[in-house]
Amino acid sequence: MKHLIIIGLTLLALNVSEAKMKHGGANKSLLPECMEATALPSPHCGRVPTTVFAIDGKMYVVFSQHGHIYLTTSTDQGKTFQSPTVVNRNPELIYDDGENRPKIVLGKSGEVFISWTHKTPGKYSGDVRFTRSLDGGKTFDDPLTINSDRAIISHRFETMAMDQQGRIYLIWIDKRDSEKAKKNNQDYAGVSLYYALSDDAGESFHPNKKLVDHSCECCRIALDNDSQGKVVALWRHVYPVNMRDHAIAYVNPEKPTIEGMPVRASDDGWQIDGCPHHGPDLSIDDKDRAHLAWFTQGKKHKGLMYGRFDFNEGETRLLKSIDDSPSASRPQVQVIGDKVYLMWKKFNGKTMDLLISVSSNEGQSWSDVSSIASTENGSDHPDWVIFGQQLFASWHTQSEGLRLIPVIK
Amino acid sequence: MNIKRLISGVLLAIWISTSSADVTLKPFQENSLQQITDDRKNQPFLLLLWSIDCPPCLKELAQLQQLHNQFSASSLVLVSTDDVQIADSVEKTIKDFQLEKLDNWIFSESIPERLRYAIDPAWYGELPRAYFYDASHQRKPHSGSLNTVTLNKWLNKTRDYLSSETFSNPALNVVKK
Repeated sequence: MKHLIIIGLTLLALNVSEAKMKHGGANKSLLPECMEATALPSPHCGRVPTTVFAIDGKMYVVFSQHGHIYLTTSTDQGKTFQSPTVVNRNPELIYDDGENRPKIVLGKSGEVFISWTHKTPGKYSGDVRFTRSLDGGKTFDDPLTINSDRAIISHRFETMAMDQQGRIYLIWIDKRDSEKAKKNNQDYAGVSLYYALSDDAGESFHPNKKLVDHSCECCRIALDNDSQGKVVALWRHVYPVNMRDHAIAYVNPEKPTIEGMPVRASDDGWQIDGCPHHGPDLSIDDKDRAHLAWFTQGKKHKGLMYGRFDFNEGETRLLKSIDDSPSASRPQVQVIGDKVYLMWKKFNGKTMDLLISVSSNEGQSWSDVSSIASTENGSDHPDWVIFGQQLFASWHTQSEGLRLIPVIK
Repeated sequence: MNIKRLISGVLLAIWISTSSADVTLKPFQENSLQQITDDRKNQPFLLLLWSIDCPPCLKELAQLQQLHNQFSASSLVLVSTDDVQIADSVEKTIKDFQLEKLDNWIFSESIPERLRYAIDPAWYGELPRAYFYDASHQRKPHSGSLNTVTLNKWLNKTRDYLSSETFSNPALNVVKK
């Protein structure tokens, strides 16, 4: 009898490599055309595809596969794709999970700007990488490493935006100040945010500047432009003591302007010595009010939250619990015309559903929740994509590949 | 199949899994918690969920390393919520903290939420996460790092069970030194 029990346990115990093959983890494609070792790069087979539309309606998608960032385009809203172009000629380790994905910004004269985070050898360490194309994505410059500090520490979760003057902003989470404090035996809560600016269309970048001390270590940063094209950032901060609520600020191109504690955008009282890996989202309306969506487990609120931040009042109002169930995650917010859309993922016990709710009165009240897609296997974070007055949800799932789901046609 | 051959093969596998260089990392699936509790009938144990992406979890593993002589594979179950694709890094971390003699698992499911749901529908996925199971398998959840005081208190409270012969499943002792 004893032997039989041992057999049972042992048979159970030998299967991690089988599990690897079978499930392929949470992000590896399960599409038949992607399972072959010789599968060609495609936004369906690759990881964390990120989508944007050009003014002419051409869709650009960047994704990660086999140590490369690839760019592909589609002229039929994602039904078919051109064969992809390699963005970084030499393969490198790349952070390519939902919170860490390549970014793409299109310039006004056919420039394509792309950034990502390269994984350096240490635990949690990385470098911010950037490259550009001046011919619509046919050829790319050799990538630049943007963080001037080259220690094998965290310079990660980079994000990119462009302002009205065409200046490019890269903002990232940087551990250099925290490391310095550690060497001097000083306490330093969290890490810091740094940024770099290019005013020559990505040919070069000005020296790194610090945006703020004491950001959280591992949540993506959200960026958007206000009505003047100025860049606004929303990030998870570490307020004393270990309070992981969100902060919001304009990113000043000339000089850093945050003095002392940054303005609070969420006040949930979430005290935790840990990394939530669950960053916020931001969308600014034409009256320059910031619509926010985030995840928290604070004393005051739990689950997915919405709120509208007014810069004049310095306060977030219209607080709403989007979904407080533990199986809801990754809230995204998008203002389009006079409507505000919320989207998030929710596991219903069987399938992962993509849910939306809409407000027609600037966030004061919300429609019933409806499901726009679902999947039976793993899925990436969803994202909003806009083309003119059309709104799409972009969602990459293991079983279905990259889908562009029309929400406003 | 020849039962003798099967048993010797199995014993070989056990020998491999218990040799110091190896970590037996089992795939944690939707029904795994049921298996874990079935294997520990009438026995208290601690279920701990962690990830290599979670610095406080690593602090906690370091603490367990200090106490590891007081735990066995039957009294402490470690479940890594990392993607099974990075099982190698998880195994390395377990070895670094010398926790290979404990009962080690890794999330193996394309929708990790499915496993979170199976473990506890009220858990938001925050780490580290612990469940203190008493002998009747009533459990108490805990989010965030455990301090040494809490761990020692639990160890003292359950020492009677752990040192007695009440293990329902002798197989769990095969990896006990």
